[in-house]
Amino acid sequence: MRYLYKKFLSALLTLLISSILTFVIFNVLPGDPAQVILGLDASEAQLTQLRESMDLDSPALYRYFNWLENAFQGDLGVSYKYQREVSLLIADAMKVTMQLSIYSLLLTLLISIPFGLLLVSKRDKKSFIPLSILSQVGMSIPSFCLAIFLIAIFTVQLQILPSIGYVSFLSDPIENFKSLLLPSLSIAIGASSIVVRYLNTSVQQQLKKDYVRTAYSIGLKEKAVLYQHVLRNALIPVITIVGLIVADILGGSIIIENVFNLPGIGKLIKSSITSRDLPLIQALVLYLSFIVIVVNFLIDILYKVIDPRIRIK
Amino acid sequence: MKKYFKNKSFLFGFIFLTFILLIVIWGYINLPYDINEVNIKDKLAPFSKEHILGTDHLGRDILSRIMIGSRLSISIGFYVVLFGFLIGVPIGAISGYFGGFIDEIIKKIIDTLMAFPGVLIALMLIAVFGSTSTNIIIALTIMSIPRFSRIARGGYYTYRESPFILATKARGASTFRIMIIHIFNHVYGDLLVTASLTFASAVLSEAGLSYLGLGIQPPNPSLGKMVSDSQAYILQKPSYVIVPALFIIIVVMGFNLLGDGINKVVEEERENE
Repeated sequence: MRYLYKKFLSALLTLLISSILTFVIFNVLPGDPAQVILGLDASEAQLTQLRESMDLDSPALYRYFNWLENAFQGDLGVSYKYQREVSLLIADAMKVTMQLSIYSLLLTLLISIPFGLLLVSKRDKKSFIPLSILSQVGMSIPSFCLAIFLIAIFTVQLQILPSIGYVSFLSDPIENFKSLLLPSLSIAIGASSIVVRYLNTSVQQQLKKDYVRTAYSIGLKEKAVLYQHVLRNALIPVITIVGLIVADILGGSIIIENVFNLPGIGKLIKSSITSRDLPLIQALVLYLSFIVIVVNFLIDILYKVIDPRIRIK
Repeated sequence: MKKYFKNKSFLFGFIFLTFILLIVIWGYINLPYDINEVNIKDKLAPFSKEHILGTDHLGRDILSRIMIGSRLSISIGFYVVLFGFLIGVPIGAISGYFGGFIDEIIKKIIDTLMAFPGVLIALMLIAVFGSTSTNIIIALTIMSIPRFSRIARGGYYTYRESPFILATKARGASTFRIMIIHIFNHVYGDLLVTASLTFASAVLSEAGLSYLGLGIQPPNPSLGKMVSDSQAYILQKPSYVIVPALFIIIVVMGFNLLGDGINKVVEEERENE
């Protein structure tokens, strides 16, 4: 229980720090937020009006606590561009991004675990080199380039998958899956390469340990050592990486949603930046960091469940 | 140096990056065409003697644009790594060496920044300050600082009470000297690995931002923007998309391989100690 308690406090603290960082960047550093939103050709009257409606004349500390309090109650302000409540905009967009992330994560695990195991089993053979080159390429190729190539193959040449637009799950589950397959594949290939690398390094480290020598010396076969002993220990650090991958997937979806024109958080971020919709960006950043922190907290718990040896120091 | 070149990852990374550097230097010495010279009559021309890599949808010479684009990518990556190193390492070193309350706070901030999706921090800053090259460098530097700090912190924390440091202390070396000479000697290998991998991810992030139209602004060419301009012509002229994409991949992979190679060599040395 103490472990949980400490991790929970730590997650809360992280959330607090990220809320401060977000607030400082958007409200304190740039000088006049009203000017940023309205642009350089805004009249003095417009600026004054906006400053009043944003409560910009109050002290920053007061505004921060006010913003935080409202955010806790689910009120993240009103978007300038859409003239809608930010929380509603995010809720709509989140449905798309959530599905994209889940598909991407599943695909990542589906690709990386078999591929990682294949790589591990071939570690002393000649075929190891082309396999590891493949994972190196997967890590170095930008997701948007991959997306374009996938569109060229599956949409333009084979004409079996759509490249643009989103179909909601409730209206047509099959079309929904089709519309998200290419985007999630574009994200998953890069993410899998990272997981594969970690799995491989982790196995190599375990193989040097004493228990492996013991296992061999009592006469166990290579496969038994690898799958029954090494892999279990090697998977533990890989779980941490899955936590980091979630941040990666969310980051990747920002770009990929714009390639495939999916109405998710990434699309919202881009349009809020081009229209300088500060309340919307601020809320989006806070929201995404909240998700990342919660996921990492869950990973910490999972860690503990899988490896009971972990204790707080 | 020899032990580095024996490592295949390092060798290939080195070859890739030398290739890119030669292209960039060639662009400095003799740029084939003006990068913004529009020539609609000659648009989407194939590879030829006049235009080695062909022309784009406005008839501009692709090779010249690649040369300048790679130069911008590499210089952005260079500044990001330089500033990230200069700011991140001292923060991590102080945090790890002295420990205590400051360490707790710094560690927390590093963890928070690491948990953020990198692109998001960059987007946030660009949203507020606008997308100029300087701002992209600032944004990506902020992303890179925690990486350096984390590695430096780990290294300084491990070595601060090791026998050789205690011996140096007993001989009367100042804290400052211990930090920048004695411990640094043992952690710079890991920092070099971080520098190389950070370079790769800075180039990747810049390409992503430019692809979205939030990075390097026209008329400056950038590899990411070239990919987004060219994607509509993928059937008419596949090479127009593939060439800039390939250059991004070569730069990123070059630095990834270089980092891997250095990492292997550093680990082997540590095991031999």
